[in-house]
Amino acid sequence: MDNIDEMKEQWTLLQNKLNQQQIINQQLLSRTVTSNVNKLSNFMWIMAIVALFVSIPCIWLLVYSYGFFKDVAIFLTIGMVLEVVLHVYNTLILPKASDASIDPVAFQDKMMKFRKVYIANIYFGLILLLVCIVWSLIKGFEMSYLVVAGAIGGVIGLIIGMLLNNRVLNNVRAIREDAQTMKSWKENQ
Amino acid sequence: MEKEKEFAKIVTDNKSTIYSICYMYAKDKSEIDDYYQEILINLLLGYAKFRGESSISTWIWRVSINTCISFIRKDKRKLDTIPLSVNINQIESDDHEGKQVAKLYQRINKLDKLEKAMVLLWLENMSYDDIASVMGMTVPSVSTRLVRIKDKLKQMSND
Repeated sequence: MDNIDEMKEQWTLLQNKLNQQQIINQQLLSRTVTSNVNKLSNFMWIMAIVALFVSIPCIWLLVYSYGFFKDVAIFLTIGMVLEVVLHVYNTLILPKASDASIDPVAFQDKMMKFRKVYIANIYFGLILLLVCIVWSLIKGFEMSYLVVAGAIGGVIGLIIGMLLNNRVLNNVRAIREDAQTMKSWKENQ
Repeated sequence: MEKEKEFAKIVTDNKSTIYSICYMYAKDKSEIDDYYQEILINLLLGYAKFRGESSISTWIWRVSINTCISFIRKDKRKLDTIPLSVNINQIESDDHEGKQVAKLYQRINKLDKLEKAMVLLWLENMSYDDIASVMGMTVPSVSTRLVRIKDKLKQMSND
């Protein structure tokens, strides 16, 4: 056989082999979605457990303090409990990874709902923080050490919160993009 | 959204063509995904301006080949997502077909970047008009160059 004809045949072979690769890519994509959803779920549960541990000092303050500190402790404890409840609810509505390949449209809707609840939770946390700041400035104005300590704690908390939220939202974005690709493939088939 | 869907379908339909070009230009296996991603970015950027003056496959070939010719490897930040990579081991498998593909790769890789582009277009059974359009050459120039490249390939297999 002429080597030029042979090359044409080899080219067709390459194209055929690459055409078969889509199945592997779909499997790879499905694996990525599963891994990302599981990672997100684990991360959300870890955050819930950490939030519960953070509630311990609030409860301790609630029991052993009085006056202004007791009011702050009540406020913080109620706020933390509500945050944790909302966070656990948010984790429970996270769709199952297997839904992405079975019903990508429903999976996308559930991921959208998860994202909305998560963002609502962030706003709720920010409102709590804002109330705390204003309250501390008004009531604890005389106690400058309290304002300074609160401000430092607030800034540290805000930075940690932003990093954690950024990670969760990036993960959600990656899952939604992969699920969208799976949806397009399914539609094109 | 419609435009995005349209684009996703075009990419899916022409995936094997794009990957074939990447495969032929890549120096090593890890470079294939870099080429693929770069081509997808250029296709996406160019799709909004695509007026349909040439066929979609000619346009994809043009963008892909131009990207591969002018490609400079960048240190990209690793993303969380796994790229849609091909399983190269399966392409260059130990069976007869895999060996044939590897042979094609070796032959084509002895050519320079422009010669490589012309051979790939010719292997795709494109008309001389389309090859000229993709390469930005005249039809007589395409014909002359292809004859020279074919001679070069024959010479290589004789050596």
